[in-house]
Amino acid sequence: MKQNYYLIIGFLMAAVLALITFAGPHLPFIDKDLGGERILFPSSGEIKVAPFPPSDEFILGSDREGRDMLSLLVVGAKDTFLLIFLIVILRYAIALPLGLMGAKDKGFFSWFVRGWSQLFSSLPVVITVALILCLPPLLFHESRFFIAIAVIALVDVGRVAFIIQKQAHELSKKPFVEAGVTIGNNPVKMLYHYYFPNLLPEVIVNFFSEAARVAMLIGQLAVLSVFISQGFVQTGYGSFSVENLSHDWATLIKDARADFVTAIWIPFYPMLAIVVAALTFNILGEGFRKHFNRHMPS
Amino acid sequence: MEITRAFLKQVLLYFLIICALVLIVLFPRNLTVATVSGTAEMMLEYQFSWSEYKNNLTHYFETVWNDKSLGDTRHERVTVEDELLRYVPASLKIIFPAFFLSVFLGIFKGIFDYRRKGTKLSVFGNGLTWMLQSIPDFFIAVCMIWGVTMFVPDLKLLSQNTSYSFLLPTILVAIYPMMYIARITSTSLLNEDGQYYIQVARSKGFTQKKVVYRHILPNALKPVLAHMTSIMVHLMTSLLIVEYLLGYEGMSYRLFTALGYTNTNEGLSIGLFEHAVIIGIGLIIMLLVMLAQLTSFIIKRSMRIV
Repeated sequence: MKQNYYLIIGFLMAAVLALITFAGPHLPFIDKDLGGERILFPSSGEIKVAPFPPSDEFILGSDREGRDMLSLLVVGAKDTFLLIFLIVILRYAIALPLGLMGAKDKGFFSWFVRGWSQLFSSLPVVITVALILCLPPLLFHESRFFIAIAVIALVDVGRVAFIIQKQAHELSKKPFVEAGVTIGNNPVKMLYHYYFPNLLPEVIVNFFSEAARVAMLIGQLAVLSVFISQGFVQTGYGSFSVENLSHDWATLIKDARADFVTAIWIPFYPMLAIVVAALTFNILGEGFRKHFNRHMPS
Repeated sequence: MEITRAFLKQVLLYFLIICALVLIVLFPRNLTVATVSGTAEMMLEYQFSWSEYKNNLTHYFETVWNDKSLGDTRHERVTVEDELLRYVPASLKIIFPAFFLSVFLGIFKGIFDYRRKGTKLSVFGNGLTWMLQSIPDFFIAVCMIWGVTMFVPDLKLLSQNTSYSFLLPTILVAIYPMMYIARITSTSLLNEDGQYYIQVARSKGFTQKKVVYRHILPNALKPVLAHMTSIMVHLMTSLLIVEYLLGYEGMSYRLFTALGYTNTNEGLSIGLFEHAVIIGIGLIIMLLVMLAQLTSFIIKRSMRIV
């Protein structure tokens, strides 16, 4: 039998990421409290000002507050993955029932799903989400974190539900499903014995590519300085600036444009982390696709 | 009859999207800064009122109707149209080449991927396509910008004053949509596999190349054309990121500034929200998406793909 290298590599990468996420903060060289000094005095008469470039002390350099980048990334991994999975799980929790209810391809739900997916497909998701998250009531809401997750999940629910609906509709035309109806299965049994087992592989595969998409979207939003959990920090008399309150990787990207010339390592490593995360999700998705299709002639 | 209905449906849909855009953008945004008594500390406060919302909407439509203009900008006596005329052409210089580049090269890449499947070259086929699609646009942009400034600073690829300033952004913007098209093309070609007409064409002794280009491709083009609009939307997403990161002064860059974020020395600060500019640029983006849809429709008709 042919080895499924995608799935093996995907699981390995996911295991490494999980290890970093859960065990990483307890490693000796990781500064869990994220303390930092903006100015260092390595030897007498010598002064160094943050951001510090990558060196023995700071393996990946430091940010503008003098905090170790490696520690920031490791500690931030949990928040980042939590965010990504919350969004994707919520998205599927809404899209799956909606798509199944529209499986007949006519009636209210089918129309609703189609409309929803078309409504949000003519403007880039980044712009839509950025516009909605910039609404003032959301800017100051105490539970902005959850509202933001709901917004990002909902904007793309239509597209996901539409895919499920299409697959469910195709499935409902298959002879064996029609046979299931004929022998008198009730709708619950139909769902449980006919639709779920056949839709699940595709849903799992899409789940991971969706997670990769969300990782990218969060990165893009961060480049544009739209954060999931943000607060206003007073920078002067009557002036405020936006700051991300969570430790997720997106925070570190925000000054990417300013950091190009002076400190490329600040945006580079978090972006690399997002790339690795997105790549892991994609490889896992591809691996699962190969796994579920292993009985089919390729 | 069928076409008229589909057309009307599309028009209604775009109308709905414009309504949603206007409703979101004209949401009242008056923040009040309240001082905490006795200290220099201040609090930002926000109170929503329906009357203000209604006032915003009526006022905006009145000015649009009276002045025959989409509205004002942060600069005095500069209307949205003036700003659009200034920024949109710079973006169009990127969008059109990038669109054609991604469609044509994407289809070619898809054919390449399909023909090299299962050979040693498939690493550059499916593998590369898949890899490039997994890497976010901002990462490629950052790497490219860093590489360009480090190694070939003399070429001035990042400057907007040269005649070839659109080159780098065009390439950056086109990568993701190109790979998207490549994947759709190769899957759609794969789906045609095993059809009798392919066997007939082969049995006639045509070369593999001729079979793919003349026989399979026209049949496989339908799903590709159906994705034209999403190509444009992906292109717009990349454009926003690339223009912002490169500091290329096009419409997406203007959209970003209109959101109220300005780059200052202390980082980003919340500033003026230019609702009229956002509506104007949103309309242009939708116009481009419609244009992509129209292009796919025209190609479909002219090639008689049903």
